[in-house]
Amino acid sequence: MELLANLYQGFQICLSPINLLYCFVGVLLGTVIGVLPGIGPGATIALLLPTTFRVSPVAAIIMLAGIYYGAMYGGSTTSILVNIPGEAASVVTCIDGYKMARKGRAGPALGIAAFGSFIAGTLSIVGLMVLAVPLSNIALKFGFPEYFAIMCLGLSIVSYLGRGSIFKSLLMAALGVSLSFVGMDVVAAKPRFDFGLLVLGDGVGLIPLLMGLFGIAEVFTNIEEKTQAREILLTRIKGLLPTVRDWKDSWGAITRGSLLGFSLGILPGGGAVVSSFVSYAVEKKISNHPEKFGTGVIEGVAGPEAANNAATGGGFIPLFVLGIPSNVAMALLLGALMIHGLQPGPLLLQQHPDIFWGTVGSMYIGNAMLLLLNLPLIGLWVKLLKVPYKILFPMVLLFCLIGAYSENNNAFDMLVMLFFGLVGYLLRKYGYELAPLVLAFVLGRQMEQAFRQSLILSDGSFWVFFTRPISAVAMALAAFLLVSALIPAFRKKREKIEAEAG
Amino acid sequence: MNRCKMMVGIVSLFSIGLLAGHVWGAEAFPTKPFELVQPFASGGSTDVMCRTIVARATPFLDNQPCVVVTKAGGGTVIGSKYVLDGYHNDGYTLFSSSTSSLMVAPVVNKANFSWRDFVGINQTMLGSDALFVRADGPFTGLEKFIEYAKQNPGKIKYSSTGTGTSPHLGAAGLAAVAGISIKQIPTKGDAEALTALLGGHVMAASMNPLSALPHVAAGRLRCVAQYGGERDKLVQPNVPTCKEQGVDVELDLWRWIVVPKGVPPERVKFLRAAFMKIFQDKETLVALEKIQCPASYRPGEDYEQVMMKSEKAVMPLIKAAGL
Repeated sequence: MELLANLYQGFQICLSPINLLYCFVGVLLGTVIGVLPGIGPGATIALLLPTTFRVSPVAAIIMLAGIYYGAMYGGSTTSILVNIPGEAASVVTCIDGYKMARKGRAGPALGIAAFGSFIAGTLSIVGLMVLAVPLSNIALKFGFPEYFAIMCLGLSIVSYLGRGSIFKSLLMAALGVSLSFVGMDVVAAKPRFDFGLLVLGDGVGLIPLLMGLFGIAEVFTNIEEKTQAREILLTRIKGLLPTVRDWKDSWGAITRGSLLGFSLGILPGGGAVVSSFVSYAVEKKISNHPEKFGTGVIEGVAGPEAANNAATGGGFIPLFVLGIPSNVAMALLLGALMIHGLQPGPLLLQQHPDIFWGTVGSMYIGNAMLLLLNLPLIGLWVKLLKVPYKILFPMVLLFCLIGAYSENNNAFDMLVMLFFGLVGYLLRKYGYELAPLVLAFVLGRQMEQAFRQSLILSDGSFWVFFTRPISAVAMALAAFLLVSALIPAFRKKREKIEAEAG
Repeated sequence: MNRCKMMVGIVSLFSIGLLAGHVWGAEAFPTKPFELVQPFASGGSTDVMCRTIVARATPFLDNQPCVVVTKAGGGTVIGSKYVLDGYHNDGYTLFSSSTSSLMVAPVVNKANFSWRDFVGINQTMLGSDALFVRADGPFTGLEKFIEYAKQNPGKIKYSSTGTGTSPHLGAAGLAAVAGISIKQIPTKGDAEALTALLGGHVMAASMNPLSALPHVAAGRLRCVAQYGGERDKLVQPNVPTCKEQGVDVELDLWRWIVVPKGVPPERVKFLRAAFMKIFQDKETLVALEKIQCPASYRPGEDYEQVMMKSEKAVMPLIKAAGL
């Protein structure tokens, strides 16, 4: 009952006209920057932080939070329509989403992404509301070995991402991990693989890498393909909303994605990105037609999009309950709380319940706003497919350049992006999947750190990964996944050889 | 023809006037907005402090606004190098420097600059990192901590905010002076270092008090010592320093607003006067206290003295930390 009273108070706060306005501005901006490739919620929140100085703290947090979860809604749009992820968390959505659009089913893909996001977003707010305190304590149980094990599990998922050769996927994962090593080594404080370039001291930026591999490479690829494929695709767009059949296919994926996203979102370090990959892998693993993944199945869009939205709700838990940010956007929200004289930490909930409940309330409203905002927009977005390439791609290029620059105000990042554009173009041309590279890049650095931290903790003993229950289970699962994915790959190859021999 | 000549004459006169105007304009200062460069990620405590300072600075800077510009990366060296690149010594570019960026980072990154390449405008903050333990653990004070470490060499693992950061230097210096062996587990920053201690994965955490203090208030953590020369009166007035507890470690965390050498002296004078007034502005000081920033003004004239003292204290610690 106390919960309902609190929630009632929260709604009272967020339904005041001024807070509603900030909520709307936040989700609208979030959607827009989500759609624009390269310009992420982190850079936007950083940019808008000073504008919230003069408003009440709760209005500031409501708006900034709106930008964050709004971006997760918008991110899928560019993935589906132009095969360029609007956000890092929408990389996997490209795989099946874009294929759906090519089949003329852009509308249902966008629709299920919006509905999936709404359902997952709402579920994760319920989770945030009910489970915040107990879950934050569970998150503390994760020490260095547990993180390493969880990330191993995450990386083993690479084997489910690819359509083609599993060996090519593993090769891409290795490349991703290697790239993640560039920059200052946290443990020894020595720069590595930076070619003496100061600008690489913090490593290769995720945004420039992502925008290069996907955005710029997509532009290159299309210049080569000329524009024919595009015109054909335009002739038949079937329906704007998901059909009954689509719903049947995706409700399971949405539920699983929500649960996954919410639980992974609580843990620090790219919860939204990783959970979208995990969700895709899970859907492929349990599907009775795994071979169809990558050709435009709706579960491949519904699951990951639900997961990355649910992760945002989960991400607020450590922020509000412990004052510990789980990603860059959360760190900025923490900064915003501090500017308003609120100390994030275990006492925030007791001393300023209005902030927490006001934000929770606004997230319900914000999610509803996003759905209402995004559904009518589907028709408009689909029309975007009709924009000729010669207009669309220079714009994509421009936004990618702005996005790469705006993160650190560093011109070198634009060069990094163009370099990876070339790399991405070549890799694609020769049939290498880029998704495993991105996942490995996101996980690589954290994994190495957790590995070395664990070994300092255990005085050099490797048993530390197998004697602690959570990490032992995660390691076992990772091994199982990898083996179960590799065996069929081996078998198929052998059968093929035998068939050819016979 | 004559008319034409006259036109030429008028135009030339105008041009001379414009040119002269331009020269005089260059002497008028300031004529455009200032930028305050800060070398850490957006939303961090330095960023928040800078934004709080500039929020009410405009009237003191002859009505020119001052904007905070983030130049993060390269362990603060990218920010410092940006300011030192030779194009930013017109007085419009200020740099929010700290013990990390002017003392530690040049050594760790083998960068070829030092505090001597800057001119001080004013000190903005003086604080201290500190050593935290669990409140339900056995360490009630620094003495108990050292005693345990002497009996169990290498058993105490502490999380730090990264190798070469000031909390690492503080703890490494403490270990060297007290003659104990404790192991550092470097992490990516405050959040991770704090989580490791809260979860009981390490026995201590060496970090900036800002994010740990709410947990002290909630009764989960305890602070056993702060590394600064004097107690931080705003943030934790009740926690004794290392020196008070008989361990001769002194690591002050200062932040100074500086400009690169080569800024004309009269502009330095203008900036020093302006920032003195900013730090007398009551509302700015209240705002700084609200963000838990231990503001501490010192005039630019003290720059060399403070730096020399800091250099003397920090260099042995860098050595002790094995960097």
